[in-house]
Amino acid sequence: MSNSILPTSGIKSAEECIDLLEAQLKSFIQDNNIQNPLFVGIRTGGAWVAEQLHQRLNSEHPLSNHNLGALDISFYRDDFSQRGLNPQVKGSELPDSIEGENIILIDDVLMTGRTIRAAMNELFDYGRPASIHLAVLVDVGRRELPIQADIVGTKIELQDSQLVKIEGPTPLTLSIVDKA
Amino acid sequence: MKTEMNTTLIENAQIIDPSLNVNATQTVSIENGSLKFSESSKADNKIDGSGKILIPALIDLQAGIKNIQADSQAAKQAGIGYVCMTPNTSPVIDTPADVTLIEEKNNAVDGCKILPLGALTQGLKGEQLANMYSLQQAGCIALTNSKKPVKDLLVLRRLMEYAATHDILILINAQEETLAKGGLMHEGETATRLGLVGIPESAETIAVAQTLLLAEETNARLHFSQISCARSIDMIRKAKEKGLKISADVAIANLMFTDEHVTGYNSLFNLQPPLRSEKDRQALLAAVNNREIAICSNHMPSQAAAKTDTFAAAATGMNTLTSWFSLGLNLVDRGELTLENLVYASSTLPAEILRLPETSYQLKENTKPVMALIDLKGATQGLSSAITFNV
Amino acid sequence: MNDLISQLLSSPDASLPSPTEVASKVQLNSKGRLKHFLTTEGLSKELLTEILDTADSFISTQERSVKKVPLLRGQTVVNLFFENSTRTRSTFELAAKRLSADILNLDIARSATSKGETLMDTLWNLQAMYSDMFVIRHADSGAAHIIAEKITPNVAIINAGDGRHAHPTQAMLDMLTIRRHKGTIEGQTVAIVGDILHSRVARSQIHALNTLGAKEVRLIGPGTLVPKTMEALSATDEKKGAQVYYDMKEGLKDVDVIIMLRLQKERMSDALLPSESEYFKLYGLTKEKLAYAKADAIVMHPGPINRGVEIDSEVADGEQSVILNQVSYGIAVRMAVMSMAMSGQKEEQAEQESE
Repeated sequence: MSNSILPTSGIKSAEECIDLLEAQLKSFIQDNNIQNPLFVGIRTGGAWVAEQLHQRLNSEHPLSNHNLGALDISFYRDDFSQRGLNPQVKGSELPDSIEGENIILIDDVLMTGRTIRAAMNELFDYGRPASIHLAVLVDVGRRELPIQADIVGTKIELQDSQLVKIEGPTPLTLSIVDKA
Repeated sequence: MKTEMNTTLIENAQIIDPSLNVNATQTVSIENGSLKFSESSKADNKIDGSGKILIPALIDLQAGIKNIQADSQAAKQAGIGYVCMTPNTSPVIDTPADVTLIEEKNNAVDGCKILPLGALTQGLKGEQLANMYSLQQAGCIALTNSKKPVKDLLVLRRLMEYAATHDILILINAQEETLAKGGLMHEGETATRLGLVGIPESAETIAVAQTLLLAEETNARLHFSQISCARSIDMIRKAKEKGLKISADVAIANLMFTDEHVTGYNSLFNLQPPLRSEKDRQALLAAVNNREIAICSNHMPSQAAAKTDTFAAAATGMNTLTSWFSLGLNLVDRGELTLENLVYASSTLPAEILRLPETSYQLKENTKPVMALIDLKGATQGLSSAITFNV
Repeated sequence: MNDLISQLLSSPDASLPSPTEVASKVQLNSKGRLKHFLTTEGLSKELLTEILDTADSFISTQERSVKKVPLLRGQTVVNLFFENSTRTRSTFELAAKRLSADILNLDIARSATSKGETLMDTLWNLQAMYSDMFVIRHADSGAAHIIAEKITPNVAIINAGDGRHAHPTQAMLDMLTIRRHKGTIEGQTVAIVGDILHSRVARSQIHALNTLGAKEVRLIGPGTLVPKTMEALSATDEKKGAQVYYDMKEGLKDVDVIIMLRLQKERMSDALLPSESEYFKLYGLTKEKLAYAKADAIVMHPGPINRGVEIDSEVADGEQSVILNQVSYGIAVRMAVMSMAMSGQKEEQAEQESE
């Protein structure tokens, strides 16, 4: 299977998407008066995005305690019987309790919605958050579950044989590859 | 011995008889069972002997026979003329009546000749002498302890003294029970790695040493069944040099495999005696090539289900009734044995040990020896492709 | 015609596979992923490290209030203990439950199976009940291997201890303990003290230590309990697998990790040892003997400990002892190998179905 990288004219770069997310998040947090949001990135791509966003918002705004966590959903996926266990399990890093926290759940690509479903199940095993809002770098549609993001960097429409590929952590790049 | 009433012409087979130093390709005829080194004009059937050997029929010094009729027929088709049947049957072969029954069953079919081995002790319990003389008279070619322990050295010595009175051949499986107890394989690196209890070399060598010293005192005619250690060969050789009436055989498995084959816990290699080290295997091969020891099948059959279990729980033994010579040919192919030495160890020497009449195993013209024509290629692939004459 | 014999006759030049090759072939699927966990022998450094890393992630899930993860939900795990052990069995049970699997406990005394039902039949019947994994403890060495290779290869087999041969989950939790307290196993000098001859734990530890880069493995004990042949385990052309010492002072010199093994009372009656007191004098770990090792050496014991026989209470409860930590890592390690083996099986079955 050769992955051919397609030209990305007309498609935003990862940098541009993060700029957009940063801006939207700032207003979102302000408008909703969210105190001490907990940024949780889903490994691996989502964690890279979360780290960048956390750095940017932390350095600009003197809001105290922007917390950063990471979620490894390997143990919560719904496709164990088909695909087995991911060999690169790193584990999750969250504070001991997320009781009452306002979580900004961050992922790189939103497609079927299954990853987010698994992430939310895992979060609830850690405790009962006050709220969860979802921010994604790229939304490519093709949902299989009723899940939507609150904040989106960019929307891309893909052909059947295409996939979005995110590489990182620095530099963070976004490309479209063709499975064919 | 059954005699075919016809004439068979065998063209260009390799005739091998180590007892007469014969190894030549030539055409022979078998007229009503009688061997002729010439072409016969009135042949009923012609066999193309190329790629085949004509040898004195194979003689198996030790096999556990489960079904006399089926086993003897299968053996004959593999070129085996005689099979010594171990007495560890149910009931144990320790009375003349048992022997007669075996003979009757054997004679009822067209199979090889079954030579019953009688028990050395009553019920093979290792304590009381069996009726050795009566067993010999009834037709037991030799007596054996059949891998069962003899109670102690005093009983062993008495067995030998009594047997020596009638010049009865004793087959002994030499193993010191307390050292071998619980053992599943040869003691060594492989046993340690696999976590299996080992049978040290000394379990055999000590028993061999003790038995040899007693043989010297009692003047018994003694054969060691299935030795496995290089050291045992050395001791036996020295005893023979002293003039003692000692012989020995090795199981085909010990010439082919070593303790390393047990890695993976394949219960096929749960054997008695156990497979020893490569050094031992080389010494056993050298002894065969030196014409010091015979080869036997050590056939100990079991059902497939009995072998599909943990190593410790699996039945001991390998099913080699018809395949032991094929495995030997494998060794010849690999260059580890010569064909002549293989035939010597599988036919000639066993015949001499059992003191069979020369006419039954020497390929002399105008005699009716028990012989086998074996297709080498087929046999090497494990097919029973042999014709056995005069049995 | 016997299978092996006809196999042999058709390929007489096939060379004997090495013990490492045999051990890895039976445990790994076509992609090199674990599908049975039978022994630490034959597994690569990468794979053993993956087990430790996966166990680490499970440790964090064990520290939160909801200790379950849904990974093995819908899978059936059967604990088949042919040899009794409440401790090991309950840790496997707990591990399975925390992976959300369904668990069935079967204590099969050896005599029950010998009343007609063979090992083969017992396992085939269980497999027919849609079991996905068997955790097996058996008194016969090689039991787990035969079951995985010949009897139920499509059920993930986890070896919970077979005779004297292997106890791989214990060895891996010991490796995790060393890694957590020493940072790494690489370059460590590790001494194993006691009844090595009868110990399946020791054999598994020796393989794992060598694969993970320990500098030296030392085996300490009397001649009756520490055979020289143990030095060949995981040996390479360049290096012995272990070094036997009969003198504890010499053996413990500058050691980083000391693993004490349990001494069983039967050893006295089998003429292997004269008495517990003489054993303790020579090989019992006291504060004095501990001083021969490095000052920051850690003391481990697979348990249960015999106080005053192989180890002094002062040492067992002392600063350098990590014995209780070992126990806590046991569940995470078992969760890791159960997940990985189940995963490897599913992967293989998916591949077979697509063919």
